[in-house]
Amino acid sequence: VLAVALTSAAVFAGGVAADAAPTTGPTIMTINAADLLGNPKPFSAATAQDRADAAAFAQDQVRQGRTVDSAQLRIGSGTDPLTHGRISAVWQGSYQPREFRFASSTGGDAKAAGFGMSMMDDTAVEMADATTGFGFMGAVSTSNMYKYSYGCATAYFDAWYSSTNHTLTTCFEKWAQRATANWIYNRWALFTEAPQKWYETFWPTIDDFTIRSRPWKGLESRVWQLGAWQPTSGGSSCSDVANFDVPIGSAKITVPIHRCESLTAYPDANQHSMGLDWDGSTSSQRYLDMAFALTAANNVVVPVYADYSWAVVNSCTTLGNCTVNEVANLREAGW
Amino acid sequence: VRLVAGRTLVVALSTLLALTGCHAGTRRPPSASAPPSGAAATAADPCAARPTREPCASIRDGGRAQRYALIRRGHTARTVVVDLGGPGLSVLSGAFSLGSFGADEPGLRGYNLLFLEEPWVTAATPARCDTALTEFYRSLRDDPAQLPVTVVGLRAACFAGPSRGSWGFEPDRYIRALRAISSAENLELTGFLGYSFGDVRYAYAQELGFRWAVFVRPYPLGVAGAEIVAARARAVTTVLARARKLRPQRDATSAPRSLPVVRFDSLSAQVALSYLDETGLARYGPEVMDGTNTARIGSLSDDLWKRYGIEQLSPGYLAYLEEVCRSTPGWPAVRAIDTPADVIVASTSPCALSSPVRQSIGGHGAVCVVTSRTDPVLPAALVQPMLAAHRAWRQVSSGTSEHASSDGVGECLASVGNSS
Repeated sequence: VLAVALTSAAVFAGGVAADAAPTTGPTIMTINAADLLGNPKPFSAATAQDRADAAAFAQDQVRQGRTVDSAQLRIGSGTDPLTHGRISAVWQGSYQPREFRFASSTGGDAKAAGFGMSMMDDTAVEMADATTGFGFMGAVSTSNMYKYSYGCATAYFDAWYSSTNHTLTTCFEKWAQRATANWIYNRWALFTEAPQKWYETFWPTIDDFTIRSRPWKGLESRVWQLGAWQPTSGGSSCSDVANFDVPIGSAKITVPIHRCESLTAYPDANQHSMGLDWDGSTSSQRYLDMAFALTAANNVVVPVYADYSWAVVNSCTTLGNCTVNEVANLREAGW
Repeated sequence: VRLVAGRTLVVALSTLLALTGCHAGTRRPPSASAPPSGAAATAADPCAARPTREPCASIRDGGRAQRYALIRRGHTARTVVVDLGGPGLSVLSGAFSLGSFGADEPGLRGYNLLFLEEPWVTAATPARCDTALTEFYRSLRDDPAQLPVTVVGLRAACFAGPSRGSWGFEPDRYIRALRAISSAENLELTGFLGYSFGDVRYAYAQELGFRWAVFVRPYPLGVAGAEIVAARARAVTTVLARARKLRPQRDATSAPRSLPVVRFDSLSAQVALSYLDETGLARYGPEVMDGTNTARIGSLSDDLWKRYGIEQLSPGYLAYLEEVCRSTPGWPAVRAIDTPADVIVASTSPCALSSPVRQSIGGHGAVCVVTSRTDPVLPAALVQPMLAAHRAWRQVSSGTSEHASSDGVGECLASVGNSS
């Protein structure tokens, strides 16, 4: 039995643009990951198609210098309740999807599709992390913090206009300073829209991408306060990547940040949460990254965060003759 | 997906639109200003094909792309090529904080920094090469006597035909890339800062006429593989003796693993200890030596061999083989893996079939070298022949053992004329 919540746009009025006049929709559905994906399968028990997604994930990770054992992967797949297309997700360790959100709206010649995924990392013990390798290398940046846990997950969403998929990858690193309550949460995500075939002319664009992280419900008391965060504001171009220090007490880490235009940062000292919302438009992919320091309730507890990602893809419903106005009413669905 | 019946129509309409240019009143095709979508984008923009956390730019050299990060520091053309070594490094991955690299190093002030990404990061691995890597890895773990066979398979599948030169830098390609980038970006390549294997990359590019070069714990050019292996084995023995005496620390690390932790992993983890900093050694040394934390042992072994999936090895290991085998002759073979030294020998065992190219560093420009007598990866003794051949090179001796340390770099930069 699917536990599906079908919601009207009014519920999300806070993020809805008033002037949009959709012909149909928006329809927004929230569905919990277990209902959508079934029991997550280990690699060894996955179907051939799911294994292919997992292999793509592992290949992608290894080229970024992160080697992931298949035994640390979980894979699930299901059906997008709105488009009935295939959706699958691959995740590492205990960084697992908890909820998905789908949205759809049509306005004139434009069709908007929204994809959201929230994740939880409940790593209870420090993960093994070593950065050696047979090569002869130096200048590995030193920090007086260590990586307590980390993980990445990728979800593949069927695109209505193509046989290819939208891809959402979200990653986190939880850094700690030993014998203190000092932590830094580093988060980044990449949304790549499904490429069109050469003969398809639906002009898809990503028009909204947001990432948010907040203490897991019920575990809020593990975080005492929010410290420094980056980025504090947007920049002039997403292709401009700069490194920023995120300090806490006597420790710090340095993280690369894509300095996108049309970017708003949403740190919340009361909620101990942080978010970024990009409201530009691009026809390929968008990278967002942020990091924030936090002080835990004491030196023993491990803060647990929930990560949300949400992207909207606008496209034409008619071939090549499209007057798409962004279907803005899908912005910021949820969270 | 849902246009199966409409494919012909789709093609016809697209063609018609293209022919008539009939986009009036329609939305602009993305190619007009923004990067094109999807497959076209990946072919056109190598940085978009595999996005990086670090800044990424690219140039084309023939049919191949070279990706790089250029960190501009003010309005100057003066640029330092920074090579962090490897081979096998994914330098734009975000793990190296390139944007703040050397920010506290007065000798790098006033220079742009240029980092080149190794080719393997974006090269496709042919299926048969992937399989050959797996067979090689299996023979390491299960039956080292089979290594002569799997090594032949590895060379045939990964280093012949179109795959040749796909993984690491090739000298002529490295120099062409630097030329093209400096021309496209209006750079003056003034200095070269090479960590570890970085001095070999300097050897590739030295004819560009850098005014100065600093090598940090350099890889020993002109020394036989057998000597390198022997020196490293001795250094590892010293590290292990220290690790045994350290006080055990609690470490609750855990991670599931597809393969059981076997003796090969324990020996590999012991070699991996030599790459760790002091904190890492203090923390993991005792539990590796007494075998109490199999998760840690497995993880260190996997990191050393860059194993992923179940029995797959990263193409980064192919880059390691490609450049290390080319740079050094005389690598010994191994038929059994019973000691940490055997693991070190095994890592270069596929080199036996390669043809090394003699490389050396010439005499122009000011050069300074940082070495450490107690460096467990490349101890100073290995570099002595190189230093003896270049009496004019300045030397800075570091008391810090860690191979990845930047200790002594400031002093070296100052000695080649970069004190502020």
